[in-house]
Amino acid sequence: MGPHELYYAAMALAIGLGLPVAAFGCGIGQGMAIKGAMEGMARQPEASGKIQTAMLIGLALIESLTIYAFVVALIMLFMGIPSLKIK
Amino acid sequence: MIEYGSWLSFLYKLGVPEWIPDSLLVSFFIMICLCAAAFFMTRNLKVRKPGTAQIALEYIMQALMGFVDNLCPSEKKILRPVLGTTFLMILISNYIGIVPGFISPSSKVLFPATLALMAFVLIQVMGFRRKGLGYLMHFVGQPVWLAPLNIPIHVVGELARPISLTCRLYGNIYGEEMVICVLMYITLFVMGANVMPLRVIPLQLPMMLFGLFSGFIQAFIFTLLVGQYISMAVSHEE
Repeated sequence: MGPHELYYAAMALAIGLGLPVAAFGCGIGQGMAIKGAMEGMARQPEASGKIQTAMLIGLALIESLTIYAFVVALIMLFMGIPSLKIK
Repeated sequence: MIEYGSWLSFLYKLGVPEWIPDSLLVSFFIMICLCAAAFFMTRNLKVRKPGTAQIALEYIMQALMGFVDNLCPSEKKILRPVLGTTFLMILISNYIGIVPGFISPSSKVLFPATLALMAFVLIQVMGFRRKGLGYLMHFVGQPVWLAPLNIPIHVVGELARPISLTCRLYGNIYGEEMVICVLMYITLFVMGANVMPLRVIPLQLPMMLFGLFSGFIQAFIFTLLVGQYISMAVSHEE
């Protein structure tokens, strides 16, 4: 097994295990945010517009963490290791 | 790296330089289409008996204006055109990836990065315009004696905004397109490899429908965050 095969095997493991971890945390966080927003909206239906806007901003900020993990995975997938590419 | 061209790639044979990426051509195409639509739909506006196009235009304008005015009521004169066109541009460029033969400009880093840089400059300019040099006090923070600690944190936080805006738009749209691509691959070469009739099952269809939803949400979020940042930069209380 040369360095390329080792690199790609490790990369498959890293992406396949790393992205679900990020998605797991993001799912829990977004679920909690939506739960809070829903409770607030059920208690005060007249404030639902403001709550919805704040909830969307919060969801975007939470989601961006998963997106960072995804971008890192893409960089790993397509850039590779420069020193390996020269050979 | 192989670039799968869009319908606009014939422009390369007409003398457009090679270093201009395909997504830039598509984004200019969207821009020209939007300008032309805005020009021709406002040609003969009537107060009595408005046409279908005028009613549609008025509906869109009203929705956009209401949305932008809610974000930052004190600056609505400037923000209405800027954020409204930003929203429309991002929305159309998210959706044009669904049209066969076009690529979505927001699935490349260039387009979201440009918009995020523009938003960054806009936030700083608005802050300085409204508060003058007092805008710099926003970096110093509340207890003045903590300034050596606060200034780097605030500067890094300010610089992280365009990066996070870029990554959010780019990652969402590109990830969605990759999922569509993988599902198409599965349909063609895994499920339908031996059984020909299975090739016509559009596995990617639910993902494309979800793409319509998430494309709208992403355009909405981008505009919302920029408006929120501007209203944070403009507001007087910290």
